[in-house]
Amino acid sequence: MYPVVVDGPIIQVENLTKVFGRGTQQKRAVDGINLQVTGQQVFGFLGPNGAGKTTTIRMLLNLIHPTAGQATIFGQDPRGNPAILRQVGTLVEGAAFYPYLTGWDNLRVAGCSQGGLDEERARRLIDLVGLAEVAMVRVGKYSTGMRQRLGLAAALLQDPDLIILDEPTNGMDPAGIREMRTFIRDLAHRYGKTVFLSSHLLGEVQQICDAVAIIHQGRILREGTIAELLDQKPQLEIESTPVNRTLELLQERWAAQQTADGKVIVDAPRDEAPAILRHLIEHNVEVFQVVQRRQTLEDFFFTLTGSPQLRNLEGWQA
Amino acid sequence: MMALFRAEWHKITGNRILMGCLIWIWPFLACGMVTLIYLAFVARGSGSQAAYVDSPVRWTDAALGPWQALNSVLGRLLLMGFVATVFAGEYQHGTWKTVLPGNTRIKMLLAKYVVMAIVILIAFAVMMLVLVISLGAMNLLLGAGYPPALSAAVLADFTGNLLANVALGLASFLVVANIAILISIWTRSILFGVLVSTFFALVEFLGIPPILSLIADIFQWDWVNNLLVLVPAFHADNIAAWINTGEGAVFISEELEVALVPSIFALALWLLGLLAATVVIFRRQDL
Ligand SMILES: Nc1ncnc2c1ncn2[C@@H]1O[C@H](COP(=O)(O)OP(=O)(O)OP(=O)(O)O)[C@@H](O)[C@H]1O
Ligand SMILES: [Mg+2]
Repeated sequence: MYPVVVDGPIIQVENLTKVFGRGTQQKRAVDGINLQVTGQQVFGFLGPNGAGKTTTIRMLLNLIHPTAGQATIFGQDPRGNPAILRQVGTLVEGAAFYPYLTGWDNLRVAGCSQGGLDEERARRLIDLVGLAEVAMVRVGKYSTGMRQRLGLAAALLQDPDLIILDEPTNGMDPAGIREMRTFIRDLAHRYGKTVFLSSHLLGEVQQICDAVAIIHQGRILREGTIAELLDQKPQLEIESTPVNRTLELLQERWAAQQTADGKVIVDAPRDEAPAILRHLIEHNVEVFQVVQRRQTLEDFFFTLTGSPQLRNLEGWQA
Repeated sequence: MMALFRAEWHKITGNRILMGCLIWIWPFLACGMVTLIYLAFVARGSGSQAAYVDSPVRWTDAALGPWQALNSVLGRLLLMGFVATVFAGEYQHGTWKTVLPGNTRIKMLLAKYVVMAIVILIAFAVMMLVLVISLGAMNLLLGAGYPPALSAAVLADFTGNLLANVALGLASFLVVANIAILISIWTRSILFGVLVSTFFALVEFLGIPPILSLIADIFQWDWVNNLLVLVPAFHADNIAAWINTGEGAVFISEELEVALVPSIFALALWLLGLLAATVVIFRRQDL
């Protein structure tokens, strides 16, 4: 096994590009992206369907050949040194196994393919992901969520220092998603692993990631820690009637806008709430509630996509 | 690398349908065939039985049978489904992404290739044992002997013969298998691998010789017949003839006689060429 001693980023991606097809069928799935993922954190790779997440991950794993650019893992290019990927646990887009083998046999195959199987560890993992009872059932009979759990166990077989998970909660039930969330966070914060997590679930990412990169149509739009990205001006959210009047009144002094669900957002800190309230009440507006608004990653994302060149976002399913 | 072989072994032998329908069926068929032959003798009565006892089947021939079958059209064809499934099953199940990271693609192919060949060798070895034993039992029941009598000379002769036939059967099978592998990896489809290799195996035996001789006849170009030396099956049969009769095979024309060594080279060239093409294609693939 490789002793992984790395200063600097665990994953480094430079100008990575993938063009599928030729001529009129050409598709720039990943378009010159740059990324740096440092150790012992959960890094979220966020983007809508078809953004290029899986393509990027497949390039990291030497499954797809980049059209241009390069990616290094632990400072090494997997194309020159595929064995470096034995230090990486992977779960790419819907765990795939041999349907005619049992869960346990699939783990054995996965372990042997990665250089060797530690049966004791495999048994503990299968227990950990909650599949102990169905370990001897053929994977063909597993549900999607069960396959994902098995995929997670397979990804952790070699006790890797880097774990790349592509939409790991696909097909999982709410309880499973929650377990997965805790689990991923623990991997990084308790066991010092690095987790590269691709997802289109904004809420999920916000809860467990330390840093994120947002990818859209093959390009990275933003990259940074969650705190950096969400470091926005303070806002208050007001529920009142009549809404038009509220908006007019507030716009005299503050920047305000109406939301789709008939509330009004004001750019103002918490301290100004009493003044705003007084102003509204003096003008006979009925106020039901005023709350301090915390921006979510979801808001942030849609703010980003509100810019003119990014209108076309029907792909989102949050 | 050993771990990779083990992974491949689990994958292949764990596929019960594949093993049952395409591999273990052979020893069973052999057993069934012998039983039928026996029953036929019994049914037809003492006359034919007596004739048989005069010249019963030799155990050496029984043992060589499966390997010679491996070098025949039908024998090879029936294994193509197995070969294509071993190689293209990963596309079907989407499992390359599970097993490939961390390994070079060449090693992955090599592991599959070696394990596939071993499984087939084992199946045919079992079939050989089944045939030798069941034919021996039949001879016993019919009151016939089981020649040739065991002696050091017979055994040495047989061993040499067996090795030559195993090697030839395997090589000739692998030519068609390599085509199945190449096509199933290229098209990522088990079905295409089976169809194309089947077509190739049929054509090289049954289609190409008559077509060549037809062209030679029509245009009065005798040399066209000699193009047969480009066909791998020609060399496999030629080698078989050299091994088993001590003379080269005679095909369309008497002049076209090829010595043993060039034929071995030609067959090896086919094998390696197809493998090299497979490796090139597989290494370039996006998975
Ligand atoms: N093998 C391929 N051939 C052609 N186009 C492809 C191929 N694989 C992906 N694409 C295209 O590349 C783009 C990016 O796909 P990718 O699978 O990377 O998206 P994703 O971000 O993983 O999306 P999702 O959230 O739906 O999984 C898509 O437009 C897709 O159609
Ligand atoms: Mg994807």
